[in-house]
Amino acid sequence: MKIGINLTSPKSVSIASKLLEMKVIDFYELLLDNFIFCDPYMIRDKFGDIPVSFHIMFSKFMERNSKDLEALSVRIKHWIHVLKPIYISDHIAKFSVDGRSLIFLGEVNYKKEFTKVKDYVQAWQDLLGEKIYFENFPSFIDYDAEQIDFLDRLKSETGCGILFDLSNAVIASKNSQYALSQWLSMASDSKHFHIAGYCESDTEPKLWMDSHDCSISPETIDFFGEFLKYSGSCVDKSIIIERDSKIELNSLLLDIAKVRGEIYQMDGLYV
Amino acid sequence: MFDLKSFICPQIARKYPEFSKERALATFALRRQWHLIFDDLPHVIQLMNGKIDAVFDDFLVWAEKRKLTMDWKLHLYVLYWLNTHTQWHVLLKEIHHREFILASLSRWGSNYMDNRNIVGMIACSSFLEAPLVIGMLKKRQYEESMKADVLKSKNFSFLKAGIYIAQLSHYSYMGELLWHPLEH
Repeated sequence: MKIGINLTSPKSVSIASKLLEMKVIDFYELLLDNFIFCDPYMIRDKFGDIPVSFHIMFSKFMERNSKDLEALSVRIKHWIHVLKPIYISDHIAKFSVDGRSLIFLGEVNYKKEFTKVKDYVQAWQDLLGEKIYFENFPSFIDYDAEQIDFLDRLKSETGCGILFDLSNAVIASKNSQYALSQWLSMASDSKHFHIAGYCESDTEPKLWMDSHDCSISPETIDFFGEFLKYSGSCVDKSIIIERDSKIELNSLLLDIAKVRGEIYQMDGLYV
Repeated sequence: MFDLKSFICPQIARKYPEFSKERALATFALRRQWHLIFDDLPHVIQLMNGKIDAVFDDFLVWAEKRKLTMDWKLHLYVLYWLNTHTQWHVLLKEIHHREFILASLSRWGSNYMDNRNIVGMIACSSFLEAPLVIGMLKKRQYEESMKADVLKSKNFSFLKAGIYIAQLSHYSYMGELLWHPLEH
């Protein structure tokens, strides 16, 4: 299993390149939104041989007008052609309500909106000419069961993949009291993973939030180990340790060691 | 189903019972919105001191009525509203106008996914005696930093009191600017 780190902006490259020099990571995941203004050939020259994957936050493929989405896809395809990413991932979420932008993203209605989402996912994959891996949402309200069914159907009906965010599943489970083990049903065909720290809100009741600003919790690490056992093998898989703020070398090294520890236990050696 | 409008409208958020998960979620989202608006406005926070939460709520109610897009122009809308619908306009100095405009342009400049053919944006507040005009050009290079420029060389006094924006399709402030009043 390849271990990588997310690059949210050119500024985060310096720590990532240190981790690469220390040979503790194998690849970068670019938040494409924040790099797409660059010349991809220049990025390729800068990164050299290190593999990359693309993570897209604001394609807003279900909300953007078709002409603009097509133009965006041309740009992304150029990046794909030049950098040949390991995978391309995106988000299924509500970025606006009644045409008004949301800074805090909303969750789709998994029951009522399946067909609509499915059509958009299919069209977005067709435009890019690639399989896209969609990230599971860190639900705040009790939507876990609906989301799991929704993602299963989406995979089978569109051929898309799931970028399985382990900590998002933990968050969803903590927010809903829905058993975390229910998410293990997604283990068999998950290939690419995210893992990160989360925090508790100071609201009443408290909610768990996907904050990416601290170490991975023991609960998430245990879940990762469990997930690996269910999935059977680490071969040809990848995991990104996400950190968007408080990006500190030592803290990241600890997280990488924890993740690597689980992989060792699974395969006996680092594959 | 949860009403996502509660993320940007306190009135709708308050429809959920206190201590419910829905209310907590909406409260958390509204706080994010608060931070988005005020985190880059230290002088405005200082000016409004204990009244800032009321300003925030009142603005969002006004924005909801007008169905404002809440995109990168959000700070410009707040500035417009303060100047046209509140008494704060008397107390707002150039430094406050500058903070609002810079916050708005920074949000515009760090978004590379939307409006990809527009490479520069200029915003003007002509509520001040001498209109304040600030421009920003998008980054072209990986290592570049975003930089705002106060445009002083031209005479903008012909603009009536209001907020205006002008888009650039080339990397230069030279040439005639096509001003659009902020829609509201």
